[in-house]
Amino acid sequence: MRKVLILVLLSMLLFTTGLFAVVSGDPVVEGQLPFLLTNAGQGPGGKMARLLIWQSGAIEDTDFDYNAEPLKEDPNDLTAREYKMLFVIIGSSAKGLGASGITIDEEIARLNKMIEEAKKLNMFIIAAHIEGKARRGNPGSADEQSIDAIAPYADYLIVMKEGNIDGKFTRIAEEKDIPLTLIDNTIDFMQVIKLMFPAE
Amino acid sequence: MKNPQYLKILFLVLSGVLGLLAGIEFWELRHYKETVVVSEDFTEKVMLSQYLPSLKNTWGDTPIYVYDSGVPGGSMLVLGGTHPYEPATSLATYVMMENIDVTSGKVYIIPHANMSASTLGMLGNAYIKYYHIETTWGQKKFRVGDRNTNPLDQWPDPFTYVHYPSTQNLAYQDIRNLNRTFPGRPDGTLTERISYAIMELIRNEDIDIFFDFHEASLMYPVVSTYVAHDRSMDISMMAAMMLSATQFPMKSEASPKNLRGLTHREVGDFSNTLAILMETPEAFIDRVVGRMSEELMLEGKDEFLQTAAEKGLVYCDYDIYEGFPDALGNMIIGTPMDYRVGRHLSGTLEALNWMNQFFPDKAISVTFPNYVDVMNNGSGHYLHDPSKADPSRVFQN
Ligand SMILES: [Zn+2]
Repeated sequence: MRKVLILVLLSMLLFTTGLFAVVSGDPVVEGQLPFLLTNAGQGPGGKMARLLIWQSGAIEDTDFDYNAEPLKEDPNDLTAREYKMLFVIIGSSAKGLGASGITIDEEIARLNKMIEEAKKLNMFIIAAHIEGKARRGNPGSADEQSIDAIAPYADYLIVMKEGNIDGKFTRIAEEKDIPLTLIDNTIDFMQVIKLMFPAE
Repeated sequence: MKNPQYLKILFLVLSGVLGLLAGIEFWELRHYKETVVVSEDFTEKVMLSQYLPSLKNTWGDTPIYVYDSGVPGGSMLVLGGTHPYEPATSLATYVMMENIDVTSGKVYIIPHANMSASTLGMLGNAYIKYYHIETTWGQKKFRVGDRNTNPLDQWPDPFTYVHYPSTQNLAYQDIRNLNRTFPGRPDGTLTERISYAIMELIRNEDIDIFFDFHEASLMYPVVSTYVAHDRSMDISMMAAMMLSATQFPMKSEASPKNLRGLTHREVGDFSNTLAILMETPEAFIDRVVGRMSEELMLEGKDEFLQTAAEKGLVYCDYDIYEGFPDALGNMIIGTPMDYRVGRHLSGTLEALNWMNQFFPDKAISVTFPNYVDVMNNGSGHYLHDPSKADPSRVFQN
């Protein structure tokens, strides 16, 4: 049991120091502050990302805001601060859609509006798909519609390898010439954040 | 003329004999006791009725095993067997109880949260009564119970079950389902009283973190996951991401607010504890499976479920031929018992690890075998021979 414990500790150490090849693909882009973190598809990904950003310790809690549904009620959500980036975590959940009482069509309409507005404001758009195959679906599903509404318009893509098994994100990246960084596991998103915001 | 009379008596005797044979089997299962050899850190055994005296001398009473390090720290409570037909839950608590080492804080373990439900099989399901685990000193035999409280102990069911105190209407048989009767009430049904006594234990002993072990069918979306109360969400999200990267695939779900009676909702709402429920995949309880044998319970290999998996109808990895790789490179074929026990053990350790980081004032320091240990050596390796153990550390459940 002690040997196993040492192994586990060692692997955790490797994780946190980033010696594992957990981040691959195009180099991580430089982050800009402050940014707005949000979801596409009403999934839990945004909250997971927020937690991982806190855990990374790379930036201050006040360096970013989290808004689950910008532009749902307030048309000034994207201009509430001088946001430099719009950080969108893509992933749909039937439960999330059910709980908020909206349809996927309404969600997509809001996302289109959000992207249009962000482009107008010259925000740097990041699309992140960090939960793997759990957030991929059949063509036309809520997950795929959410991806199609955000990813092709992004300036940077962060994707968990397992979610790109059919090469969809690689295709989008090539067609639209968007840099694409891949991570092995959801938790490696923390590593990407550290690389985006290196300690000065 | 005289023949019909003769046949009537014959059938009467025959049904009497069959009834007697069945009765013996029912009686045996109800009275069969499982043996556990508690670890050296064990301090005392108390009964649940200590928290609600009306449970005394009922089948709702059940032992609570306490491991008090004597060193200040947080406290945790683990429930196995809330649904006894999910037996990896009780087995995981036994592996814990036989090997746990507590260096700070206090641990409470209830291996059979619904004792009554563990004393019969699923009625009408051609169900196995026992399963066996190989150990280094021989075979150990355990009960496979029902989902709900034994009707001998709580009957009849009403037409609709009105949950207390929400007044939500639930399915009638859920009045005997321990995971639908929380937070319970002191003068309610037996199952409500069990829930209430567990709530009293949590409130009186000021339990910091609460784990309720379950197993789920693979065609149920909430499988291979933590289900966390609002206050435990950060713990379960971080633990799930960490486990998925280093051990086995694990998801994290938020406890819905409008589904009443469940531990992950009510235990968190009606006490200060951090409530977490965990689900492993158990092929045995999927609707589509074939013969419900002991082998299916222990190995979880079923060709019908395989077909369902190939059609994308299951909510976790499942392959009975080649298996799927976990993060450590083990190939998981079917849903083996050791895999499920290991998931609960490491699921608990990882959540504790994050509780200790998020709430340092509640920190608990414990060790017991984890997923890696159980996958390498088997659960049986961690169960000790009662005949060679100090009798003061041998208990029956
Ligand atoms: Zn259950």
